[in-house]
Amino acid sequence: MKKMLVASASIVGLMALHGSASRADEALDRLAKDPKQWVMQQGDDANTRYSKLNQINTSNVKKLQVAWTFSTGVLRGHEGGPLVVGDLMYVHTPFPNTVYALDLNHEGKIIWKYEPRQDPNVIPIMCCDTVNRGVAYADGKIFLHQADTTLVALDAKTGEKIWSVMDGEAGKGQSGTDAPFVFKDKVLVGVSGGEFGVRGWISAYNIKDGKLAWRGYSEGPDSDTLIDPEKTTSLGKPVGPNSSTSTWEGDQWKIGGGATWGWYSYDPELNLVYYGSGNPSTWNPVQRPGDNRWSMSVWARDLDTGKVKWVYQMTPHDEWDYDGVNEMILTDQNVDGKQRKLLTHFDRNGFGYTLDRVTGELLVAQKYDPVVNWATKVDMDKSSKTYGRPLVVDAYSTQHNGEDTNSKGICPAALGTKDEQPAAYSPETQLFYVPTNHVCMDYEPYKVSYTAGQAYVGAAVAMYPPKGDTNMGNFIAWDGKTGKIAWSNKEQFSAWGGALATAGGVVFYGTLEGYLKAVDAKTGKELYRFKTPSGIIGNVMTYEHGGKQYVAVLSGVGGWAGIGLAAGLLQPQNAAAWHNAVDQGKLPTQEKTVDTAGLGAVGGYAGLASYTSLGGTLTVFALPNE
Amino acid sequence: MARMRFLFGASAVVAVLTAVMSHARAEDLNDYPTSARADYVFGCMKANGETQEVLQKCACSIDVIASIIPYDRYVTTETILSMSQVTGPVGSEFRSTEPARLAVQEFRRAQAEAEIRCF
Repeated sequence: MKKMLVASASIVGLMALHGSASRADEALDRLAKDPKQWVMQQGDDANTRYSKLNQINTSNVKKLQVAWTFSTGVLRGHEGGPLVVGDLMYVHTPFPNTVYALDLNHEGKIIWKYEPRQDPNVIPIMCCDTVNRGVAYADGKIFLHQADTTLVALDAKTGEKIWSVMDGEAGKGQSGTDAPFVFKDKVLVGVSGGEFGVRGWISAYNIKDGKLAWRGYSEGPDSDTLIDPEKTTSLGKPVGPNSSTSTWEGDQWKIGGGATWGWYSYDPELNLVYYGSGNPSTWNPVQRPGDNRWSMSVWARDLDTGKVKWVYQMTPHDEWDYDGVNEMILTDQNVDGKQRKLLTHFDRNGFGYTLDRVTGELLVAQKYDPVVNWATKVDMDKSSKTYGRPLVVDAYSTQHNGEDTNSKGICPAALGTKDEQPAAYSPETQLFYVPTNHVCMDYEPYKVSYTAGQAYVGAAVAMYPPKGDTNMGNFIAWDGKTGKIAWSNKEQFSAWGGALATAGGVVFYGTLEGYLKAVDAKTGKELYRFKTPSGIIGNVMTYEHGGKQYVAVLSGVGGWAGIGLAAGLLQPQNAAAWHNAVDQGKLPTQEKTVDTAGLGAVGGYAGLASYTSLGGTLTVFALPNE
Repeated sequence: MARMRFLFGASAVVAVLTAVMSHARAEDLNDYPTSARADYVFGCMKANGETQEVLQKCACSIDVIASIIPYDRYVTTETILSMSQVTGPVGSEFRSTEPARLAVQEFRRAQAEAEIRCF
C-alpha cells in the first residue's frame, strides 16, 4: 500500500512537471500573440520584429513625441531592447548587466533592480565592447545571460534569483553577450569569443530548474556537434562521418571558433531551432587549411535533443571574418506558386540567403549591397562541384595573397554588410527591412600562436567607405523571394540599430548619430526623426499600454562626444584615459571611485559620471493626447 | 511646463551672450538646437575651468563654430568623436577612416578660428 502511494505520487509529480512545462509554453505563446506586449527580444519565435499595432501610422507618425525617458546609469554600448510583459517593462544594461523592472502604471517607477557581481576581468576578453543583447521572459521568470557566461533566472515580480548556472569559462576567453532565447520548455544561450580561439557551442537548459538538457558544438567529433552522419544533411545530402574534424588540420578544431552570439529562431511545427555560427579562429586563413566546418554555417537543430537536421556552410574556409551569426528570419511565402516555409538570413559576407527551412535547400543567394566583391556569386548549379559555395575572387582572397600581404579593396569589411543589428519583416509588404554597413577594407593576415584566454586574431584590418562613396551605411528593403533590393536609403554611418516593422505601415530604426527614424514601409520615405541623447545600436520595439501605442529604443554607444569636442580627445590613449575616468561599467562598490589620474591638463572630470551616464538612455515615444 | 521654462531660460542665456559677443550673427543661431550648444559649453567648461569667464569663452566658441559648420556636419563630428571611443571593429570605422578624419579636421579648423576670436 505504501509502495503504491509512492509510485502514484511520483506519477502525479511527473504529470505535474510535464503539465506545468507545457502550460508555460502556451502562456508564452499566448503573450507573444498579444501585440500590446513585447515578450521576446525579437517580438516572436520567427524573428520577424513585426508588430500588429497600427495606432501610429504613416500619416500621424510625424507628430511623435517623447513620452518618458529612463537613464540606465551605465556607459558603453547598449544593444538589444526592453521587454514589456503585462504592466512591467524590463530594461537591461551592458556590463555589469543590471536589470530593471519598471512599472508602466507609475511612470516607469523602478520596482526592482538586479545587479550581478561579476569579475571585471571578463571585460578585456570582450572583443567588441561590453554589450549585452537583452533578457528573455517565460514562466514568471526573467532570464539574463551575463558577461561571465552565467545564465540566471530571476523572479519576474521580485527580481529574486531562482536558479543560476555557469555556462562557460571566462578564463578561457569565453563570454556572454547574446540574449537567452526561450522556446517551449527550454532556454538557449550561445557563447562569444571567436577572437580568443573559443570552440563555439549552443546550450539548452530546462527553464524549470536550470538543468542542462543538451549542448551542441560548432566543431568537433559528431558526438560533440550532435550531427548524425546519415540523417543530418547539407544541401540535401547526408554529411557523412566526422564532417567537421575532417576539414581541419590535426586538432585545430579544438580552438576553431564558430561562436554563436546571434539571434535564434524557432519553428514550433518542425520543432527546429535556427541559428548561425561565427568565424573560424584565427583570422589568418593560411594557418588553418580546410573548409573549417562548421564555422560560418546556418544550423537547424531539434529543440528537444539538439540533433542537427540540416546545416549549410555559407563561407567555407573564411578569409575575412564574415561571421555567420546574424539572425535567421522565418516566413511563409509563396514561391513559384507554392506556399513554402522559408528562412532568410543576411550574412556578414554580403549575401542575402533564402532557404527552405524544412530541408535546408538553397533557394536564393544574392548580394544585398552591390559593392560586395570578394565573390562573384554563390554557385546555384546543383550539378556543379562547387554547388552552394561562393566563387571567390583571387585578388580579394587573403588566403591566395598569403600571410603578411595586404589584400586591398575588399568589400564588405570585416564587420560585414550587416552585423548583429537585426532586420525586420512585414507580412503586408512581404519585404525585409535591413540596416546595413557600406564599408570596405584592407586585410593583412599574420601568424599567431594560441594561448588560452589571450586574443587570437592574426590579421590587421583598415576600413573605409567604398570608392566614390561617402556614406558608410544603407537602410534597405529586400525581397527575399527574388533576392532584389526594393528601395535603399543612404545612411552616413553604418546602420547599427535593429529595425521594427509595424502594421501602421511604418518602419523604425536608430542611427549612430542618435536619430530614431521612421520611414514608409512601401517607399522608404523618411516620415520622422528625433535625436536621442546618444548613438543608437539598440533595437526598436513597440507596445500598447492604457490604450496608447508606444515606441521605445535604447541609445548609448559608449562615449560622450562633449569632452572630445572641446578638448581634442580623438587620440585613442586620451579616449581610453577619459573612458577610465567616467566609465561606470565597474563593480557597484567602485562606482564612486572616479579616477582622474593620468588626465594631465584636462582634469576635473569627477562630476561627469552622472552626466555621461546619460549615454545609456531608454527613450519612449508616443503620439500627443488629442 | 517646467521643461518649457528651462528651455526658455537657456535660450535667453544664449541670447544675452550673443549680444555680448559681437562675432556671431543672429541668423547663424537657428541651425543649432540650444541643447547641442549647452552640451558643448558644458564639455568645454569641464576641460577649461568652471568660471564665468570660461563660460563666456566657451559660448562664444560654439557660436563661432555654428557660424562656420552647419548643424548636420556638427552632428557628424560629434558621432565620430563618441564612436571612436568604442572598442572593437565598430570604433575602428571611426578612428581610422578618411571621411572621419576629414570631418574632424573641418571641425578643428572651425574651432581654431573660434579660439582666435574668443580666447
